[in-house]
Order: sequence, then structure tokens, then C-alpha cells
Amino acid sequence: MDLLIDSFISAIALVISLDREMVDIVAVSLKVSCYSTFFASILGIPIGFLVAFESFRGKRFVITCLNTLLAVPTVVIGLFVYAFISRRGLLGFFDLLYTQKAIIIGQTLLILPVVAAFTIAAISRIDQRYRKTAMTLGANRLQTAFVIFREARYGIVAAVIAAYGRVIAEVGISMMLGGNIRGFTRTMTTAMALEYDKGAFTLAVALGIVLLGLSFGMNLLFHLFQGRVRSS
Amino acid sequence: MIFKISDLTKRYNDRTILDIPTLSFDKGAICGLQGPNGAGKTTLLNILALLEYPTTGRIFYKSKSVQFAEPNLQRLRKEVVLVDQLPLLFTTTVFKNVEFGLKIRGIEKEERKRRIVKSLDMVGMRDFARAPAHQLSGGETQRVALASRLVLKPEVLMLDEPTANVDVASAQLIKEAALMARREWNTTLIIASHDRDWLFDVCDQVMHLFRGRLFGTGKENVLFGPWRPHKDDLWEKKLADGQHIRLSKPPQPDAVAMVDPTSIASAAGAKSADADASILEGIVSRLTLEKASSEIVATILIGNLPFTLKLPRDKVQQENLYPGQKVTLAYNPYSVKWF
Repeated sequence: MDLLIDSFISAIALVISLDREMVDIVAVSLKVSCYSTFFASILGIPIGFLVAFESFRGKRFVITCLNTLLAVPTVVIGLFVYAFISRRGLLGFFDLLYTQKAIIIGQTLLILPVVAAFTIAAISRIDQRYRKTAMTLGANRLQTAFVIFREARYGIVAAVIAAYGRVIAEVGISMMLGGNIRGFTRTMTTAMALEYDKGAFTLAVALGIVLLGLSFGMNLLFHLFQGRVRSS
Repeated sequence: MIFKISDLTKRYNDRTILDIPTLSFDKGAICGLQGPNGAGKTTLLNILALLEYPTTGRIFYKSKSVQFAEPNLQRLRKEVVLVDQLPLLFTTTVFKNVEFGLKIRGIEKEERKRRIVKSLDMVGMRDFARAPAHQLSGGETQRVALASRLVLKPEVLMLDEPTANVDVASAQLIKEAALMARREWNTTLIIASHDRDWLFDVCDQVMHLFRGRLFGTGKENVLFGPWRPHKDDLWEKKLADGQHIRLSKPPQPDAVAMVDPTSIASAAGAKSADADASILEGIVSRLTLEKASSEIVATILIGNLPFTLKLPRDKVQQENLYPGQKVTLAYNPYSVKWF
């Protein structure tokens, strides 16, 4: 118990003093997470929107596949991407393994289904009468789609926040594709795993505090937008 | 003639929702659609508003056959608009809701502003221009939805139960605004409503839709089953007050009967009008002037069942009819249409 209390007190001191190593690790984590959320959003939102907005054969199958992909373990994606970007892989000549780019690719693949599936849910919740209203007022297909998108905006933002929350806390992809290289690909979660292995808890607890703080902030934002969805 | 329909049907999963051989609407006319829930009124309005495709048949708009292909429909929808029974407003301000259709049509900003103010004035919502639309009451929402159509100066304005879910004040404003559109821009109005008095008061033509088919003028008396055998080929239905309505044999016990109002002979003292006539006793509940024919539409309550019949004004005067008066109705049990 003393170990935990001592580590916690030292960790608080680290956080307050903005320890250089801790700040670097947090910065790498935020950077790769922001990039992967950005790429997953610019791909996942249009995919989700099109699947929800259009009627086509196999729509249910596509939605089922996306929902299934929500549960894919990070290590499976790590393994899959590793097979492509390792020296012997199809994309080995890009020399991406153990770089931040590799982590971003893996994390993007991880949360792409999250963004798409949550966008589908957000669009599907929109009352069909919005489409009818836009059409009877003379809107063309694109203008009608924009109306639906606008009405679902809070739900879509919530989808992005949920995806960010998933990616910032993942460890498998960062470890397998980033390699946990100090100052370069070491993220909060991989650093915590390493510190645990070393039996040095101070930095691990400090990073845990930052991670929990970030997660709390994300959840606050998520509920704020969910609240807007319900009240709109 | 602005709309003409020929051989129109609409089916969902082998169930025929609409079956209309022919129907037309004159430019600038006010047309009423009556019928019980599920009669197909909303489907017909959706098809006329070019929001749903018919299964078969043709629609002519301004004498040209409508091609049900999106780019063509989008062009026509700029002239033909519909207000839903429960309209939705976009989650923005009232002003921006009304502005939406004008922006799509590429109207200049100043012109947009002028027209929005006028249309909000028409429905008594000018003071709410900056209010968030999703905070409005049901009646206010209906009025803003109407304003967002009126601002477009449509050729055809369709209203689906515009006064069904609103208070009396909102209903009055909606009615006045719709009629103003006809006066100002010669807009054709097609109104589906349960408000018979209003329809008979303002409409040039009222049609009755029942189980997807059009018939009559909306004044027919619709009598639902179940029917039980009586005697001499007559079947009967017991009313709430203990009286029996007796009619010729129905095709099935739960068939729906239409009694032709011309076969309802008269009010008080009409017993001897027809040798085959059956008699029912009731109370006059309402007398309404029908604008188009200048005749009086009398509603007689028999049990809980309202019967309507159309009478010349002098007949009403002669019989000294007034609401609350007890009357007897004669009808021919063999002059009935079954559905």
C-alpha cells in the first residue's frame, strides 16, 4: 500500500512539475491519436454517411461487418499491419515499421469502423421527415444529404470523440508497430507497460493520471454532445 | 387544369393502398380530401407532391406527363409543395427554416428577407423569427412549416391535416394563410382534413377517399360493421342508443356501408316519404353552409353516429331546423353501396 501511496505522491509531483520525459510521451500520444482520429474521420464519416443515407443491396451485411470490426483486438490489427509494413511485407520498402506513421496507420484502421458505425447510428436516428421536408422544399440530392448531415452533426461529433477515446488508450498497436522507442514512438500506454515491467511506478502512475484526466475530458465532451443529440 | 391523374395505383407488398382511375384538379381551385385514417390520403398527397412514386398510372402536371426521374422531379418540386401532418423544422432558427427553400432557388438576400417577413406575418410568427425552431409548440411549428412553403409562392400547396394537432387560434391562422395564398398567387390548394365544416366552407370540390378509392363528395355516411342478419334479407347494426340501422345484405358481416345522402328523405315528419323507408330518430347537431352550392349541410346525431344530409336553404327554414332539435330521418335500406 505504501508503494502505491509513495508512487502516487511522486507522480503528482511529476505531473505538476511537467517532467520533460512525461511531457514528451504525452505529446507523442496526443500527436498519433489526433492524426489517426483525423484520418479515420475523413474516411469513416463519409463511409458511414453513405451506408446510412443510400439504399443498396447488402446494406445490412455491410453494417453487420462494421459492427463486427468494432470488436477486433488491437493486437490483431497490429499483426495485420505488421505483415504489410515489415521489411518482408508488401509495403516494406516504405520503411514504416517502428515509426509514428506505422502507429497512425494501425490506429486509423482500429477506429475506422468505430467512426463509420457510430456515424451510421447517428444518421439512422435522424427522422425521415427531415429528408421529406428538404425534398418538398425543392432540395436536390446533395442539398438533402447536407440537411441530414447537419441534423446528425452532434451524433457525428460524438462518434469522433468516442473513436479518439478508444485510440488514446490502446496499447497493442503502439507496442507492435511503434516499438516503444524513447522520445520517438513511446506513447503513454506503452511507457506505462514498460515502467511496470521495470517495477518503477512513479512515471507509470503519473502517465495514468494524465491518461485518466484526458479520458475524463473526452467523456465530458462525449456526454455534452450526446446531450445535444437528445435535446435537438 | 393543373393536375390530372389516370389509372393510378400504389401498392405496398401486394396491398393496394390507392386505386384511382381518374382525378383532376383545376388551377387555383381549393380541393378537399376526406376519409378515415388509413384511407390513403397521405399517400395520395405524397404522390401528388412527387415525393413517392406510383406503382402504375400517369400523372399530368400542367398537361405534361410527369417523368418519375429525380432531376425532373426536383424541378417540379419547386412548384408543388406539401406540409406534413406533423411537420419537422430544421434545428436552427425560425428565420433560417423559412429561408431554406428560397436559398435553394437562388433568391437574392434582400428579396429573401422581405419575403420571409411577409410569410411569417401571414401565419402570425413574425416575432419568432430569431427563435430556435425546436423550442416552438406544435401549433407554432405547423405555422412556421406553412410559412416556409408560402414564402415560395407555390403553384400547388398541399396540406395534410393542417389543423388536426393545433389549438383553435393556430388553426384559424393556418386557414387564413392558406386562403391568402390562393387569393394572392392563385395557388391551387389540396387539403386533406377531418374538419368537414371547414372543407365544405372553403373548398370548390370535396372528394371522399376510402380504402384507396375515390367516391362521392365527402358527405356520404360511412357505416362500419359488424352487421347481423335481421329478416327479409335485411341486416342490422345496433346503435349506442338502442336503435337499429337496417340495410340490405352486406357482402360480408364486417363490410362498410355507404348510404347515399339523397336517399335520406327529410328531417321531422318524413315518415311517409318512401314505402321502403326505414326510420331513425336523432338530434340536429350542426348546420353548415356549403359555400359552393349555397345549400345547408345538416349533421344529425343518431346514437353516437353522425349522419349528414344536404338540404336546400328553404327546406331548413320550412322545417325550422336548429341544433338540438329532435328529428326523424328516413332512408332506403336497399339504396346502399357496400365496400
